[in-house]
Amino acid sequence: MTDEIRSRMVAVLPRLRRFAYALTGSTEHGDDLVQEACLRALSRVERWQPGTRLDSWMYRIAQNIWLDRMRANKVRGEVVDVEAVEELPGLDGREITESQLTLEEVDAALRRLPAEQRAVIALVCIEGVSYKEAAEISGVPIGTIMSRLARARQALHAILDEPATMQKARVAARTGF
Amino acid sequence: MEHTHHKAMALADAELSAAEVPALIHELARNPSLVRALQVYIAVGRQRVAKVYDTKREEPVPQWLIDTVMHAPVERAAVRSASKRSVGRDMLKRLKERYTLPGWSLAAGPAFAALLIAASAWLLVPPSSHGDTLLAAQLQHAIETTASGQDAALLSFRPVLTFRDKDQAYCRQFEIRSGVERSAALACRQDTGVWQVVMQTPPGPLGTTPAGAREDLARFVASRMSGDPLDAKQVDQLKDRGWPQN
Repeated sequence: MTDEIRSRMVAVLPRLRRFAYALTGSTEHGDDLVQEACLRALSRVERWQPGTRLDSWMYRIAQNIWLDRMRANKVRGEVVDVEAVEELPGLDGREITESQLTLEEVDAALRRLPAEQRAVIALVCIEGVSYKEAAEISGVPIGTIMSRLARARQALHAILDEPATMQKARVAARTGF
Repeated sequence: MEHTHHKAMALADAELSAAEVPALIHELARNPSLVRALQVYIAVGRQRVAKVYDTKREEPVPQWLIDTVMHAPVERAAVRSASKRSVGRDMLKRLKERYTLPGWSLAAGPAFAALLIAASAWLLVPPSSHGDTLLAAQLQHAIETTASGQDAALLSFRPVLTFRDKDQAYCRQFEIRSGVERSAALACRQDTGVWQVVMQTPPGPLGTTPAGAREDLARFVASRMSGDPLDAKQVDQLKDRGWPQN
């Protein structure tokens, strides 16, 4: 039983890593989050109900750990990753609706969203889970997911449509760099 | 109004039921603001955003993460079985073979305490007594590269995992970084209140992971952990209370 679950968890890892990367904006931090989520899942594996989706359960654990961290950081004062400044889009502004999005652009924009909006974008837009599944994973009604997702997308679009120079200036104002 | 916008978003995401589509199309024909909203939802829609992240999904999963899943103990507060002791002994043997420096000594008693962490404050003892520690490497870098009159931030410290081990001692896995290097380590709190480093990976350049070192640390952490990792709120409370044993 346990060996089967471990194997299934390994199969989920590529998607879980992508989800964690979308949340944290960093491969290293994302892998740390995946590690903690896996350890937590294994330590309470008896709570997973066979027949339900293991990937949804893993997403929920990872998301909860990350949201806990974000809330704790908020209490301590926002932490701005200096590396984020370097990863902002270049000075070649472009129309989002007419061009390809890049990982760096979307990643930098996601980091400017509130934690819960970032999480719903990661679940629905990146991982492709349904609204209903996202609601179950997040433990909120589906209407809340839709409201959160709509606001997140409008904010994301606005950020991505900003000239890159404005984005840099905004980050500079926040970080002092 | 909001409800209609949600339906437009659901249309963009192919989540709108077929029965609702005709009414929404009718609404779109007479509501330019709804059309603009739909354009936004499509512009940052599932397909476009997911495509951006496809490369992350295609990246190979690090072996240390797979090993964590395949070998971490399952039971809460697990009783050490013969097989687990064997795994632990094998791991220690491998780690000792890999890390020959005295500073990387593993869980073998109090003689090699290299790093003291008291709550969120921490102090490194002089490197001369512990061989080539990360501090030594970072100090070397600072001495070599820092201009006169400038401060060098020698270290940054970032805990990534906090848990209780099988003896109910608190343990924290963390990263320490200098301007150019980083190392990962595990420290556990002794009864005396001193945090003792029980394993540390050799320092390596930022952006790279020494081959096998992180995997070994992850497996070592998994072998020591008992029960759930502690969440951020629990850690905050423990810090405030001075890491009480009960």
